[in-house]
Amino acid sequence: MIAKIREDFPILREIIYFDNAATTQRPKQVIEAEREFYERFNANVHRGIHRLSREASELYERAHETLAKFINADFEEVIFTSNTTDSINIVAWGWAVWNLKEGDKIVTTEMEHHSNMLPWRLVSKLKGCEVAYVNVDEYGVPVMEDAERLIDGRTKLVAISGMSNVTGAIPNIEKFTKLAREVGALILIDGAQMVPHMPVDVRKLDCDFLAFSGHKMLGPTGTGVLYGKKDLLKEMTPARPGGGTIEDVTLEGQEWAGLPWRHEGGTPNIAGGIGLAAAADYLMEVGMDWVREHEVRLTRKALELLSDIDGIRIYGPERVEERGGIVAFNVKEMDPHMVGALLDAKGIAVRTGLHCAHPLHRKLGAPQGTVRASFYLYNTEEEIEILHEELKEIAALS
Amino acid sequence: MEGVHSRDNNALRGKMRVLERIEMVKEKYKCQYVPLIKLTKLLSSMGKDEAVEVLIDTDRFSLESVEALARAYGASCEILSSKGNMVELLIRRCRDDR
Repeated sequence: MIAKIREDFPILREIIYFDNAATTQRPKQVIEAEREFYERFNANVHRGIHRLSREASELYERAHETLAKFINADFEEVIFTSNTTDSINIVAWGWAVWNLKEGDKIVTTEMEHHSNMLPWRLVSKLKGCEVAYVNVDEYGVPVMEDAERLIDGRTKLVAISGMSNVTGAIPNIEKFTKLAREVGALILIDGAQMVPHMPVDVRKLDCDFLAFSGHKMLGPTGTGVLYGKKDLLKEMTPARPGGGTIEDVTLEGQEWAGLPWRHEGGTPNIAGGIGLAAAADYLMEVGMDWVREHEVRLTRKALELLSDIDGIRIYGPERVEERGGIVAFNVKEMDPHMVGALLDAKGIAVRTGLHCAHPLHRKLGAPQGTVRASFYLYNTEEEIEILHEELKEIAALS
Repeated sequence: MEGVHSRDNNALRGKMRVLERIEMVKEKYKCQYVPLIKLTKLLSSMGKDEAVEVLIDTDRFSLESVEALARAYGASCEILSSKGNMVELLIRRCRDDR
């Protein structure tokens, strides 16, 4: 299976790529889908009477259907965006800013990527609301007792990541959803690290919004998805009003287009959306259960090998079942960027720094940042063994 | 330290074309990403008779780690000066196999 998968990613012949939490590589099928669109179907969507425009529109709409199938949503519930940050901001500026009032509360956690912190902070400042942060424990996992304390009658939105982009910690989403429902709050899941790596069914999750990126799931950069429950999306004010979002405009008002188009203002990333659908098709063919199981195997191996190196500190939950395929660590007192540069010189790509999660790093006692190795379906146990060998040499440097 | 040598500074500098001086110190960069990126970029493109001067704060970077990085790119380190925890290095290509 893995050898066959790797044939689809020629770039992997040259490098050990462990920076998948930042962006993944694209298989030939995704590159080909975009190329084919530009060569044979390129036109703007939903605006032209000519054949090319009709075909482009059909392909673009079919791409929405594919993504809907990928997360078990309805077609109208899938909005194509630029990335997870864009998806969250659409909720912030399309729902939160119109529905929150002074004294309301948004609850999020200390483990969030800045994308799931800063939009809420700005909206709250504008509306006189409060943003409350659920504490994380020493493993970077949200403390549920703190969540129970913070999620109260004033809470209107609970915004939580489905998987930490630093530690790989998977919080208890079910419990967060239950707490949100008990007080009548909405729940938004930042699925940037979750959706690409495990089976996701929005009906089972029962979330109100789910945001994720295409480029972290084999798709093109500049693509993402916002899932929202149909009723909410219908009520929500378009955060990107303009071309393509309306049925009619008069000087007195406007009639918004149907879903999902009212939330996709302007000419969209058509080729990107089609490429994203090719990525989702690829993942569905491999099987998301397999992807998750494979990453658990890789993560278990990485945790076992790396924890054996003298002077290495690994962050995140100890049990592999409670985390995704992300292993953040530091080597003694070495600057993480130096560790990354040394690994890069050996042909291993990892991420170093604060990974857009400064508060979490401070909480974990790593204000200088961490080295992050993150895995995907095309990585192998042999690659992790090589990482282990190189890290042993780096750790031997004083 | 193994691999890092101390030589006659001026004579050494005179023989090389110094491409850039990088100060990997806290006062200049809060995050060491920028100088390290600069250094690795120069190391990967540096040719024969070319060198990079690096000022490192050994409280932040060990000489061993900088030397290991240079070695990985086929370069060697020479200590130009040392004062307290501040060490000035000359990194030059020791083989021309680009």
